Amino acid sequence: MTPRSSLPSLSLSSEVSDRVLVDAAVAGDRTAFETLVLRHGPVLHRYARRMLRDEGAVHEVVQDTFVSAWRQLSSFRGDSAVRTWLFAICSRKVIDSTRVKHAQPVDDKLLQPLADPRAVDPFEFASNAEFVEALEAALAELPLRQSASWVLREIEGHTFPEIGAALGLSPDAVRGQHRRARAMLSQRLMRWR
Amino acid sequence: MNDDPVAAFWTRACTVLRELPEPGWDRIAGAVVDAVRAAPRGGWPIDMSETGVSDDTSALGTLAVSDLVLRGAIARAVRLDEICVPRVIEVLTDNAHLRTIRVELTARYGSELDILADRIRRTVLDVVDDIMGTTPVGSGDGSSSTRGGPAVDVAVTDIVDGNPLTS
Repeated sequence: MTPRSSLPSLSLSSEVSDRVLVDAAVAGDRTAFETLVLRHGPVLHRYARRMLRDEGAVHEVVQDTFVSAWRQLSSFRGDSAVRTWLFAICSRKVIDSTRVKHAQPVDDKLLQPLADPRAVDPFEFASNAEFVEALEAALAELPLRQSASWVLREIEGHTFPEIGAALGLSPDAVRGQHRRARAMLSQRLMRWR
Repeated sequence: MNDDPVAAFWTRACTVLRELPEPGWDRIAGAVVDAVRAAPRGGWPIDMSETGVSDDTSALGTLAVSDLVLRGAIARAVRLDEICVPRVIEVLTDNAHLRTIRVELTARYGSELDILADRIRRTVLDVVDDIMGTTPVGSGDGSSSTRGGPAVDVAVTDIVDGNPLTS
């Protein structure tokens, strides 16, 4: 019996490909799947946190993503990368979560331009916790597809076709969502530029 | 170097966001793994009564093992660094009795495939012995007919340059 509340020992090298791990997991090898959890968990958590912000909801979404992936493994056909498949499941969980949790109002003062925006070094601000908070607040105000497109493109480095596969949109539609998100964020974060 | 200050701003901003630590994941990782371990996945029962379990216990009821348990163990056993990895493992049953195990492999270019297939057959039968108690008999050459276990079909469906484990 595997002890509970413990992480798997990483007997599988970090160099083992995702595809090999998935094939083993499909066969029933939980250790292989747990290696995938530890490999992709941090980026899925980062994505979910950018999309939801509420810590409890993020935990729930990430956990449900991996549990669903484990259960749906036999339906994974390898048409996309494992990472894209996991992001697709996670995106659906995020949507489900936001359906039942309405957006919290944002403090508008945080987003208002300063009197003299040229008086600050933007790079200094970009590493500033206040900037991060403002960006996350602005992201939270965007429609879900816009914020997801922007986060997956700019933070996670996915291609537009990969994002389309994750969100169930065409690549062109993702480009449109991303363009609108960027315009809105630029406007909301004028203070920092 | 990007001369566009707005583009440079966004590049820098996204880098900052990417590099932020994710302590939240470290806090929940154990719980997520536990949740996965607790999540059942549908499997097919394999009756153990025909594979070596003592007959005098049959009056107490049946004992079965999920095909996922067997297939998972086989997957671990035939994952051989620098040599081969399993792509598909199928367990074929007849009225819940284990009949055939089919293993599809990706092997390294240059491998002696007939020798590899024999090694895989023996390994698979050893796993069946360990889990289900199939009585090993015969010469131990991997032939199911001499060992009394299920038939083991091995198919090499892909050949890769380099280590199949990381390709």
